[in-house]
Amino acid sequence: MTKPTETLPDPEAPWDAEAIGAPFSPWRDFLVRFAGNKSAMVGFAIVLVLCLVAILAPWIALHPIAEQDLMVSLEPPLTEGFPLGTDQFGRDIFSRLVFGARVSLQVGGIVTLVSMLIGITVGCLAGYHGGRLDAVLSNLINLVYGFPLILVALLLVAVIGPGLEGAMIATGLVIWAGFARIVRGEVIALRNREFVMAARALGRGNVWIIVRHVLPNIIGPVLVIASFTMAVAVIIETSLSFLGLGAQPPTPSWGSMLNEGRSVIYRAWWLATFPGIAIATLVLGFNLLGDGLRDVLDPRMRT
Amino acid sequence: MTALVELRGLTKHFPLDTVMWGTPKRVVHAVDDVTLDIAAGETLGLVGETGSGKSTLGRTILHLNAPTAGVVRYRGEDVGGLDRAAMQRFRSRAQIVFQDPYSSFDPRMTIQDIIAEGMVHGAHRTRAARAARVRDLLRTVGLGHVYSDGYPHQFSGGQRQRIGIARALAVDPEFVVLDEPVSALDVSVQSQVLNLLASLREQLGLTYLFISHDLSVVRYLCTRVAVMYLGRIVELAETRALYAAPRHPYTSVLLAAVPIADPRRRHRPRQVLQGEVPSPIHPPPGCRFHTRCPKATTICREEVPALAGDATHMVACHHA
Amino acid sequence: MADPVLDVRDLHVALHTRRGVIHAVDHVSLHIDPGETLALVGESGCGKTMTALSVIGLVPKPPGVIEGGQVLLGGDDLVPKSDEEMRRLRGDRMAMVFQEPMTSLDPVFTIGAQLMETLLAHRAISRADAHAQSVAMLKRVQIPEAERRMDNYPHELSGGMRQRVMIAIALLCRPDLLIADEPTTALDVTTQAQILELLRELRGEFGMALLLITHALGVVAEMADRVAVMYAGRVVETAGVEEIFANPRHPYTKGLLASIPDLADGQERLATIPGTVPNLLHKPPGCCFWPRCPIAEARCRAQEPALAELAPGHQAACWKASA
Repeated sequence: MTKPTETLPDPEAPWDAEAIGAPFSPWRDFLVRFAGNKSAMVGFAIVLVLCLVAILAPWIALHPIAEQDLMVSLEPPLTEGFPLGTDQFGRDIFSRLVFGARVSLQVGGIVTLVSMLIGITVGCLAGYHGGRLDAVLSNLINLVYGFPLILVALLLVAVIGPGLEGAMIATGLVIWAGFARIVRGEVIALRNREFVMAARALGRGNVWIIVRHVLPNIIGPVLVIASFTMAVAVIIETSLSFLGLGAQPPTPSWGSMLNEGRSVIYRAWWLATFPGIAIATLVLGFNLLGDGLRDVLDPRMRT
Repeated sequence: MTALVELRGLTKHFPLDTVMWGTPKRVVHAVDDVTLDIAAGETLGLVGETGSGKSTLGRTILHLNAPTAGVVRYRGEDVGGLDRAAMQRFRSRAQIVFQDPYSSFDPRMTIQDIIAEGMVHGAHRTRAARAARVRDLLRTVGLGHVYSDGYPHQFSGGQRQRIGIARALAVDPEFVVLDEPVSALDVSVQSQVLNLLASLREQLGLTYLFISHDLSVVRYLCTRVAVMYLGRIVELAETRALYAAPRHPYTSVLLAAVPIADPRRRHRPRQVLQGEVPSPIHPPPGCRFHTRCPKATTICREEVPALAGDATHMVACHHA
Repeated sequence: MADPVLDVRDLHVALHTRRGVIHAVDHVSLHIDPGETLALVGESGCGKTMTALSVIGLVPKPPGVIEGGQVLLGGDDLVPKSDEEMRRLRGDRMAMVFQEPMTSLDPVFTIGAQLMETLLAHRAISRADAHAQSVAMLKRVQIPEAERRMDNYPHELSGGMRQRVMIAIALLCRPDLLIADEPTTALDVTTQAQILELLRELRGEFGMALLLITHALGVVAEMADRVAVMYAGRVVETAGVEEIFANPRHPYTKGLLASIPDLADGQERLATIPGTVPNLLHKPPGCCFWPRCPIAEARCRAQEPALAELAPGHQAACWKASA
């Protein structure tokens, strides 16, 4: 039981003055909140480290990813030169994991970016325009949103053919609906806010209103969804790769590595374990970041 | 008296359902068949309770909502028929100040950007010119001492309302719709803002449409008053006449309902209106007030009373 | 004279926030006699709601801390009572009606369930009796078709109806004290008139004391027997209602009364109080009103005036009022 310390008012403070809007930086305000949010910081740290690993992969990796050496197949972790052991073909698991981060983040990033653009466009159109267009688009959004993600992705890959491009297109085509739903809701709420009405009364057109008022005010929720979408995209990519429909050999993907380790899991646990940990960590990182961002950006948290 | 704003049969209905085809089933009759003139230089009060359609009427006059039927003429020109350039000119002549000092500003914009938002014309092309103009405007509304690069959340309700007024004045308007501008403010701050509005009106020769649910405030500021009930104007009269001798039964009960800040008059006989405002989705036929009116007869249930009378006092009641 | 129903003595409530300590209720004393209506008047942030919440034991803790003082309900100090003891008192010997009737009713239960729940919590009666008494109370607050309304959910009622339901719930156990916090602020003027009329009738019929919290001086003039004006957490003036309207002594009360536009004719300019309510995080030293006061002098800036009796039953906290 500690009594809160009594903070005395600053004797210099102008207690009789009204607020005068002294310098305030929203950007700094965001950083302070972000730094004060545990979940956001942990998530951000995980994502940052994995991004650095992906970018610096050629310098971090110890062996070329495709380098096979049957003399050292299925070496356990902590073997000289192979910190996380080797697979059936004697390839270094650590190096393949490092390059695998590239694949997962690239696919996740591209999918998220593309679906974000589609989602924002559709959501803005539906929400801002309203009326019949909104009725049509929101039915479309709900239809796509209702699809089971992984099944649709599988179906599309079956049509387009296996490979990373196919996986990205398949994921992107279904995942944008999540963005569109949120953006549409936010835009409808914004459209009825009085400051948008005021901008119209001042003679500003739709383009100005969307660029100046709508987009800046939906960045927060969009960032949150983007973070969660990254997590989902990574899971879909690794799932497809696990099934052999994503990254094709010799490209190392955490999903395909997991699959390769499956058959020898009792003899060589490390083949499947490390990619599994990597996937879980990355997904956790993005989920924590998204959670944290949601708290940090929530306008109700503003004092 | 020349009319600055003329409304002829102005009607606004809002569909409640979004449909892909066909027509929406449920429609809110927010404003129905409103005809009135606002003269240059006058302050017309628009009084009504929640759901009377007074705010919608204010916004429809400015064509912020497209009217369902009827026309708005500004200086004799049909606002609905204006081309892009003419619409821009109209926008710089007719402005609006909102009730809520919180939701009427973009939380991500500085005071400078908020007030300068309407400065789209030649004279304010440079940043420096805009900044100087914003300073002037802030002084005009009594905020000469504040930083213009502050954000709305740093200011009190009264200050924000002054910022909202400055934003409307930035385009040098002639006509301003004041949509409940003091309803969200504390009593002592409310009187400051009312006085500001009164002195701006004198200095700048403004014409106001003052929308409020507070009859005392309306009486203080307005030269004429229109009373709305369920989307229709039921009485329109010069302020003095309306308050001294209301002719519509609704106006009478509305006036009687206002608490009087004088304890010696608390035991006066009171006329308390029974029941509730009917739904604007299914407004009653005939006179919309007949369901609660002590004087209602058969004709009230069947026929819509027209707004009639002389220029100083008009009323829409079969029994007035 | 009978003992007061409520006697608040030197109550001090502080909110310990991240940015400092706010003395929301700053050594406030009040009393209400049986059947009396006391209006607690002030602008936003003056501490009137926090005073009411500390009476009824609903101060949010944290950040709220009751630093001192007594709240005597029928002579019984409520401050040291446990949450459980307070829960038994609330809704029974005292009850509260809030400003926003939508958020103070639970949206997932019917009106009937919420009425009966209150009765069953405080009285050992059967469900059938509780139902009957609930219907009777709904009828008493003039809700048409009371029997059928019992099965309605809050969102099916209008604002005025919901406020009637709130009043019905509050009065079910016939409390000695009813606290009404801005009960008509969210309502239209004709609905406000209905609710005030209802409160007037019920007050006479049930003989309860009423603590009416409001910023609207018109409502005060219509309803109150006595008035306490709060400013920045302190009571600055208290008097009988006719006395305070006719003869306000504190410059803040004078300013408030002068700044309301009323229905009377011929006002050219409204009187105003310059400036705005002080930030309670840094209150001015001395009398907290002096920065806005037209007659402040050196002493006002240095020393805080205490409430002083100026006439029988009329107290004001102002150095210049006694002169």
